[in-house]
Amino acid sequence: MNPPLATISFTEAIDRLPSMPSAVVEIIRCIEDENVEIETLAEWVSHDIGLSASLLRVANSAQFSEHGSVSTLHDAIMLVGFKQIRSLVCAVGLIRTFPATTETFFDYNGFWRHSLSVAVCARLLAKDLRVNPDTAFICGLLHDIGKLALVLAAPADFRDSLAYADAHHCALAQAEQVTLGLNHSQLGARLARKWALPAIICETIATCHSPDAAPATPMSDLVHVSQVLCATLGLGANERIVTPLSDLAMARLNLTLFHLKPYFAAIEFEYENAVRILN
Amino acid sequence: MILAAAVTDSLGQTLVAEGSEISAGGLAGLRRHGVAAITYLEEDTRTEEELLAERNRVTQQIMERFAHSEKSSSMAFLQQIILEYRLERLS
Repeated sequence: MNPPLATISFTEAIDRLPSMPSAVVEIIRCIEDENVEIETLAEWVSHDIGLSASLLRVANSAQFSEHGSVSTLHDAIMLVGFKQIRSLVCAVGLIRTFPATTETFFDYNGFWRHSLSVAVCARLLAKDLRVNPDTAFICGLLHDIGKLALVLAAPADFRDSLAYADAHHCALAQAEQVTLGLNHSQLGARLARKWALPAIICETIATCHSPDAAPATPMSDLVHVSQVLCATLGLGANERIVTPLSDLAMARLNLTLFHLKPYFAAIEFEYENAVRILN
Repeated sequence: MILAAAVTDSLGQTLVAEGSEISAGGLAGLRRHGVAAITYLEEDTRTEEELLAERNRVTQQIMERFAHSEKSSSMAFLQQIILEYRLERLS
């Protein structure tokens, strides 16, 4: 059994976690590079047998292929589409990296469903906000990764934080700060730095839950708005106390709630589609 | 499924007309064309009483979701538009 987090360091907690597949790390590092070629992407993915198999399974699903006859990564990328395949590889790779926990207090599938909903919501909104949609997707997918890290590295401590949040009717991050001396945003950002992910992703993970308290970036504001929207729409498993929507983040993005309502149907459509694809 | 509204591309040209029946394969094709959402007709066989019960259940669920969140005008408005959205889809 893992010792409590209070007795170990951040570094030790992070070292207990699995490494991210190199293909996923490479793709995320180049997420804004329009010049990555299909062959390069196929080469990265081909080094990971499990990831390759997952990708071929997705390409052969009814969603993309009527005949299920895709047998090479190159064809899979061509069929799914170069843009979408990068998001897809990252999502598949990340979900495969972290084993499903047996802890009954944590809804593993619900966690990924929520992360996926924030990812598709951020990508949808990004297109109209002149923010890179692919980076927005990755930031959304990873915004709560520190929670999963805590569950895997220090489950007893995380359970204590959940109990504290319930007992004191406070946000989970606040409970973590009291019981662990750190919160999942900080741990997630450190994990992202350890993986050498681009600075914009690390900063977004660190600040998207508290955009008023941190130096703002459009990406952080976007992921903040996305996670509040998805939590209030009830997509995936969510904390009991929904993070309040930051008026500052909305203003900086030049958004109003009137702007957002027309997105709801598309967010749910994209979310259900993504869940179906990733099964 | 039957389309409740025509699907158009970014130039406004009709890809599939309103009232057309669309298959899973057709849906996948639309996605590849960058279509993010469609509106389709769903036959609703529920009685008025069942619909009313469903509306009450949805309203209660949303109230619970917002019950513990910080009280602010933005959150109150967000609750209102999410409730409107959910109820519109039941009408």
